[in-house]
Amino acid sequence: MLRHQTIVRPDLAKIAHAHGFDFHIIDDEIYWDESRAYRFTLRQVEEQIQKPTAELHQMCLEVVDRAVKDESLMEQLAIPPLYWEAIAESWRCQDPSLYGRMDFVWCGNGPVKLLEYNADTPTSLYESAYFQWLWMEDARRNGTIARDADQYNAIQDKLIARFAELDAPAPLYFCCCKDTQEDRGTVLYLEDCAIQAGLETRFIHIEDIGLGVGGVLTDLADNVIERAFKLYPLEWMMRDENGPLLRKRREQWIEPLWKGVLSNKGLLPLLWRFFPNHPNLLPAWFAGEIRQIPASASYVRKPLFSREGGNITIFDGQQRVIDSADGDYGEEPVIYQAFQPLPRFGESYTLIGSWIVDDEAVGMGIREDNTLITKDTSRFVPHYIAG
Amino acid sequence: MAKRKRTNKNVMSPSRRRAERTQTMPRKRMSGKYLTLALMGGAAVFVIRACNDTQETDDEGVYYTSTQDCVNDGNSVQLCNDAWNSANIALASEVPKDLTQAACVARYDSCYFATPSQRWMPSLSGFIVDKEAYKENVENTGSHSASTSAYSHPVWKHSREYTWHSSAKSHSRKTMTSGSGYSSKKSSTVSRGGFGHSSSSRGHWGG
Repeated sequence: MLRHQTIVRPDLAKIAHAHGFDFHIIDDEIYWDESRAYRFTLRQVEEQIQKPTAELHQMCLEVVDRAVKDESLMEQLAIPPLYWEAIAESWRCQDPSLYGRMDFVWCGNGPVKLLEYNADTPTSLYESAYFQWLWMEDARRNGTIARDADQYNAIQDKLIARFAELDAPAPLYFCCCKDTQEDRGTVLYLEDCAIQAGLETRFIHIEDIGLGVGGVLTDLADNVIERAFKLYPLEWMMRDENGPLLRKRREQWIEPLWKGVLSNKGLLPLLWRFFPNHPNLLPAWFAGEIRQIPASASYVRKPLFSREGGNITIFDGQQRVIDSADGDYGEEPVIYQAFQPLPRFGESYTLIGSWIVDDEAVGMGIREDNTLITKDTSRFVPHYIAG
Repeated sequence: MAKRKRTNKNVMSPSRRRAERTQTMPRKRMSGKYLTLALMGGAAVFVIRACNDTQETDDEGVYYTSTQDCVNDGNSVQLCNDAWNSANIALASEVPKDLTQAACVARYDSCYFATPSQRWMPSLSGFIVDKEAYKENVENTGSHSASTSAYSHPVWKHSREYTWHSSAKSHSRKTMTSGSGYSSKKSSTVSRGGFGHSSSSRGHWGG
C-alpha cells in the first residue's frame, strides 16, 4: 500500500454538486480529499483485504448464532433483556441484511487487524461506492493514474443487486434523523440504488414516524410502514419510546435486529474468545475478564456503543494515556483491545474500511485522521489498484 | 511403507506458472463498469433540501406538468419555454447515453426514442422552476440561455419529486401511491416522535 500526491480536479466543487455530494466539505473542513491517493496491488486487495473480510464476516455470523442461544453473552453485550427474544427470532428467521463496514489496520506485509465492525449504520457509503469510482474514471482519463488502473469497489452494483433481491410489494421506506445533511445524503444515495433496482421507495424522517392504531408504524399520510431502511442505530431504537414495538416484528427493518449483536464492540472479545489467535484479530477482553496481553503491552479501552471514536482511550504499558477522545459514552460498559497503531502516511493515520454487501466483501474506502483515534474529523481519500 | 519413486516430470516453476496464468486469463475487474445516479445530482438534492411535507410548493421552485400549466399559472411564455428546455437539457445530461429501451423502461417507467440524439429517454412528467433564480439568470447573462439548469430541473416518474408532487397536486395526503398500484394499508396515527430522541442529545453521530 502506497500513498502519493495527486492532482485535485479544478472543477471539483462543480462535480461534487452535480453528483449530489453536498457534504464533501463539512464545517469548512475538507472531507473528500483527492490531493492524495492510495495505491494497492491486486494481490494485496484480494489476499489481504477481500479474503480476510469474507472470512471474518462468517466468523461474526457464528458469534451471532452463539449469542442468541446464550443469555450470558447477551448480558455481556449489554443488550436489554426486553429484546433478547426478538433478536433471536430475527436471527432464526434470517431477516435479511444489506451491508456493513469493517475497519482494519493495515500492517504492511502482515495480516490486517480488525479494529471493529460497523454492522448497523456504517457511514462513508456514497464516497466509497460512487464518488471514488467517479474520481477513478476521471483520474484515468486525465492521466493522473494509469489508464488501466482498477479499484476495489463493486459496492454500488452489489447494493443494487441486493435491493433487487429484497424487492417486495410493499414500498421500502428510507429513514434518517432530521438536521443532518450527511445522513440525508447517504440515505438519498441508498434510495437511489433501490430505485435503480426497480423498488418503490418512500422517505420519512425517523422523528416523523407515527404510532398508529393497532400498534403499527405510520408515515405522514397515515400509510402503514411495513418495510424500512434506517440510518439510525438499533441500540437507540431500543431505548426510544417506541422501542418495545420492535418486538412485535410487524415491520421488516434493514438492518435487522440481529445485527445489534455485531454493531457492538463486545463483538471483539467474543471473536477472540471463540477464535483465539486468529491472524486478523487483536486480543480483546471485557472489563473484569483476564487481560489477554502481556502486562507491559499497550491497549485501548472502548465503550461498547461508542461512535466516531467517542471516549476511546489508548494506554501504554505503564497505564499512561497515549491518546483519548471526548464523547458521550463515558458511562457505558467497556471492552479492551490490544493496541495496534494505525500506519502513518505523511501527517496522517490511515484506516481501511472494508465493505460487505449481503455476505460478500465488495469494496473498500480509506480514511485518514490527524490522530490515532479516527473521529468525525477524518478525511476520505480515494484509492486505486495497479500492479 | 515403500517410498514413492521420483519421476522426472517436467515441473514448471511457480513464477512461470503464474506468468502463464496471467497471460491467458483476463485480469479480474474489481470495480463497477458503469455507474449512474437516478435521483442524486445537483438538481434533485437542491429540491429535496427545500422539500417539506407540510408545504404544497417548494420554497425554491414551483412544479408544473407542462409549459401550458406554467403559463396558466401566470408566467410568461418565455419563462415557461426556457424552463422546459432547461429541464430537458438537464435530464439529457443525467441519463446514460447508451440506455436500451428495456433498461430505460425498467428504470424510468415511461420512455421515448429521441430521434435527434438517437437515444432512449425517460418521459418528462414535469419540471420545477425557481422563478427568482430565473430572473437573476436573465439579469446576469442578458440571455434566456437554456444551457444551465440553475433555475429549473426535470421531474420524471420515479424521481423523488414525482412522488411528492403527485400527492401535493391531488390536494390530499390520503392517496399516496405511485406506479406499482400497491395500496398501502392505513391506520390513524395516535402519536409521533416515538423514535429519534436518543439522538437529539448526541448531536452529530456516525458509525
